[in-house]
Amino acid sequence: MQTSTKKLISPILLGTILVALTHPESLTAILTFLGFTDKPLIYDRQQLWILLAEHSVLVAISSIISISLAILAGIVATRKNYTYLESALSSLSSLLQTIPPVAVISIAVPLMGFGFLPTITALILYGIMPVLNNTISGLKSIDPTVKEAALGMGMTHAQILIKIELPLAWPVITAGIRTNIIINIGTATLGAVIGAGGLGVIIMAGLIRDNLAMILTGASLSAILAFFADSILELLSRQKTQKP
Amino acid sequence: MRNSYSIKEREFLLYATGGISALAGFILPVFMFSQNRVVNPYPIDTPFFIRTVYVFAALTSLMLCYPYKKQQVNIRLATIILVVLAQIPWIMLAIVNNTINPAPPARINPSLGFYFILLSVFLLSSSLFYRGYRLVRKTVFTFMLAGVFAVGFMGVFNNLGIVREYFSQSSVFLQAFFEHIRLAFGSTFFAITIGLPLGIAAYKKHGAKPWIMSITGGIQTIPSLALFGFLIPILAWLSYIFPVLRQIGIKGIGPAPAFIALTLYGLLPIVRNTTEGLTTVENSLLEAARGMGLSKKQLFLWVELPVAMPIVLAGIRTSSVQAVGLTTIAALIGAGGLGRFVFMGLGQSAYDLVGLGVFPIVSLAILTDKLWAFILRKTDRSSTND
Repeated sequence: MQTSTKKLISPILLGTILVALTHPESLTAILTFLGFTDKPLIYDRQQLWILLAEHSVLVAISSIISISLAILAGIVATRKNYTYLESALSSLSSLLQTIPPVAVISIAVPLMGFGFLPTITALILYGIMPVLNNTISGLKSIDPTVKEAALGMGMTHAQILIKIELPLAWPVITAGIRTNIIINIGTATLGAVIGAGGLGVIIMAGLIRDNLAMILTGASLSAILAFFADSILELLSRQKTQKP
Repeated sequence: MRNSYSIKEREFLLYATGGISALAGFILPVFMFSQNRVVNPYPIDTPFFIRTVYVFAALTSLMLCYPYKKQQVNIRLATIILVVLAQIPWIMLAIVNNTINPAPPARINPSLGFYFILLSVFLLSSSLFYRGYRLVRKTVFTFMLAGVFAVGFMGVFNNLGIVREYFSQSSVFLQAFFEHIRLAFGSTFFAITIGLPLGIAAYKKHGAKPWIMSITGGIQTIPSLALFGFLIPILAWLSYIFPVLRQIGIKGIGPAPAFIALTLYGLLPIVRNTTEGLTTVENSLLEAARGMGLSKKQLFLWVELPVAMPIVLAGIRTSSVQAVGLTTIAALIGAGGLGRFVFMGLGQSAYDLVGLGVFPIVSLAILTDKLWAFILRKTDRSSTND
């Protein structure tokens, strides 16, 4: 009981900070306390919580797609009959990682137009690698005798995968998922350059108007969103492993 | 272990994707024509006979390389056909150039079919790679490169969109390229000089580890856009207070804030891998070295650091490849580099101009990655030989 409340402290605290930063009055108070005197202290074209929501949606959609693709590919690559896919997949994903997200975003614009789609595509491509690598290494690190014992007990391959392999590899996979989401939250700010909305809008506006308060607001919002997401994931991953 | 692995399946996958991309290259439009840099392009008809030649060459090489009943591959014939196949996209470009020959600002651009043709050439020349014929791929690509240079000197590429943009930007292009290289690799160098001692400190002093890790990890969560923008006023203020800085060229806008931001971003992979690499050194090895009477300093320089080196180098590799990409964003705050063309092009919706920025950036990133892979292989070999 004590430990579970301890773990709840950081997500609740970070969530409170997020709410405070998106609330105009409290944000104004914080910024004036820090000594900012920029003319519009807060981004005035759109409400901050809407931008935060846009950013979260952008990250959520791309992360869900890239994580599920990567886990599926990792599962397929570690099946007995498909081991030949493993080297091809890992070299492909490292190539994807080499190509900078700015490049993917700008290549995608002429093909898909401005806005959400090219940004999500870039984020998906960029987020596959950490999850795929961790899925493959997590599933490969399982002792083969465990699987043989399960086969001897009369379990099917699908049952072994769901009941034994994935739970055992889960801690390693979640480490990859956490990396994926943290990278995605930072990279998603680039979407603002091509009109996908999100917290990058505030930063871009601050850069254009030479307004430090806005840059700080956008930066701290996305950094705290990253920490918030990470703390929630930590909560989930801990609960997973505590299962008897 | 080996019995679950079947050569046939992997090869089948390769041939299937190779064959499908060959057909896609035959059907889809290979080149696009646009009147100027912003007008929507429309597909150009590539002559039917050259596309037929291409498809036949592709299918012939597919049949030649496919492993039927363990028969020997006629390697000479297969290589010749693959070499011919690798020249076809450039020949196609030459033909289209001759028939259309657009005057500037009209331009030709490669389209989906072209990329499928390149993919099929790559897959088919890789098909023999896994059966021990490692030279074939190298030969094909050497000839391909020779073909590219040959048609390049004949001026076949002059009507391509990217080349058109290059000629309009030729006075700035090289400058931007060198700016990019200076920023990316200079900041990586600084990240190494700061990151290595930090990583060593995190390993040696257990009290410092969580601090160093959380700070370098925390920097990664700050969006690059914001960090760049954030350093502008700080540096502006510093150069206002210390005029000496202004004489060196450090001021609010320009390369200085970008350089600092890039250095900060490069820290995490280097610090993390240094600490990890040093912790992988086995205790028995350390005991043996201590038993030989090595001092602490000698132990670190002769045992710990050499053993950790491959992992440290892998961190530097990640960091430098990352820096090449991040430098693109530096253009937004007036630091120059190849990102200029990207954002200029996005602003004018001139996508060939975006390509002029993206193509060298991606090539540079891949080249950097490959160079480090080569260095890592070398260090790996030396460590196993010792």
